[in-house]
Amino acid sequence: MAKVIGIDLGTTNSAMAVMEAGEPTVLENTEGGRTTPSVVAVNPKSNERYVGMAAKRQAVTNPENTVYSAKRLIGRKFAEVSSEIRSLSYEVKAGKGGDAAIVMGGKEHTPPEISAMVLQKLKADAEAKLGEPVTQAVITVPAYFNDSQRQATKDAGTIAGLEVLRIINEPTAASSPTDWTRRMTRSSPSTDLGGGTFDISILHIGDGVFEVKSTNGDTHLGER
Amino acid sequence: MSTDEQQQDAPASEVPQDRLEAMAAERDQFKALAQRAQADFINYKRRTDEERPNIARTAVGGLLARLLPAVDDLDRAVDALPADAPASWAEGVRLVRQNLDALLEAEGVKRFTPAPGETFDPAQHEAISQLPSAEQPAGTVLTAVRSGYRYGERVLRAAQVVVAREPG
Repeated sequence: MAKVIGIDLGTTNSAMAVMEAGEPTVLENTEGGRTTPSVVAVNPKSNERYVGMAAKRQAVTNPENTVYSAKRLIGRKFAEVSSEIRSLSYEVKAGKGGDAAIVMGGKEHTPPEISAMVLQKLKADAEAKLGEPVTQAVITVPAYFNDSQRQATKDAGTIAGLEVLRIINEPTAASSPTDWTRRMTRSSPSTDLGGGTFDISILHIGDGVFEVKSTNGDTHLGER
Repeated sequence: MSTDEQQQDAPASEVPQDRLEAMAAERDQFKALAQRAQADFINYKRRTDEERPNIARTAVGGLLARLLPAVDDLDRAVDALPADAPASWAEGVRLVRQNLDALLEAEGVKRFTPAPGETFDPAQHEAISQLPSAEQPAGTVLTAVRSGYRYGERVLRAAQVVVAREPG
């Protein structure tokens, strides 16, 4: 049975894992890292594309064609992201249907297309590690993501050649492997200090069912 | 014939149909579980077999990567040796540095310092800034600020460089 990979598609970094003997195991990328920077770039002269650490390392030489924090734009209208754009080094404009569109290498890309490039690298690295094709994935999103943002994240997976079996809330994914969640009924906080954001959610867990009661945080606390 | 024997010999037709179906379903469920567990185990074994030689390398690589800042510090100390430092002491510090280099080399760690004019390659170089230059073509290394290290095929640490851009 082919493996399903679980992907944490982060604002700053992404990670992937598979279930092995009932336990999640994080897979290293080909560079040997347990996380991959969620950064994509195109060299305007050679048209070469960089994803992950290589894209991050060349960022200062090519800021206008280095796309990071695409998660802040995914599934959102151009009109909604004016405050986000001010802190970005690449151009964002209104694309089809008023959606935010990213200009990289002189071409317009949708945020799901950019995220798909990160997912493609994760998929390829997972395949190299597992020695078998990976076609199915579960991707996590912040609990506060709306339907449009969830759908756009799913689209990113599809573009990357992955069948997205489910979109899971990040705090739910973080809490679900713990043993007590299978046995207890309780409310519990879940905090996530990431590279770009800090999120806190209050979950109610009962009979293995997770309900996000409320969520808050600072969407600009962290590296970027 | 005792009651026990009667029960054991009871033909299948006497077991209620729904119970038979439930048992068959349960059997299939456990069979699938066993097959999955076996496949998981085979894959896991194959991967750990493949990874075994790498595990030592990864562990050593992790330690070496953490050691490199200390090597950098020693480099800076050697570079900043005062002119009036006792000759034997200065020589001693240089020897410590050489010994460390020899040890790293013996472990398969290779230091690399990109030369000015070398094409900037983000797979092994990390750009920390970009400066206009008339001497070096745009998109090439202007100066190396910190050496990089390779451990076998893997880039243990990228070399930090300043990249040249068109003057003006």
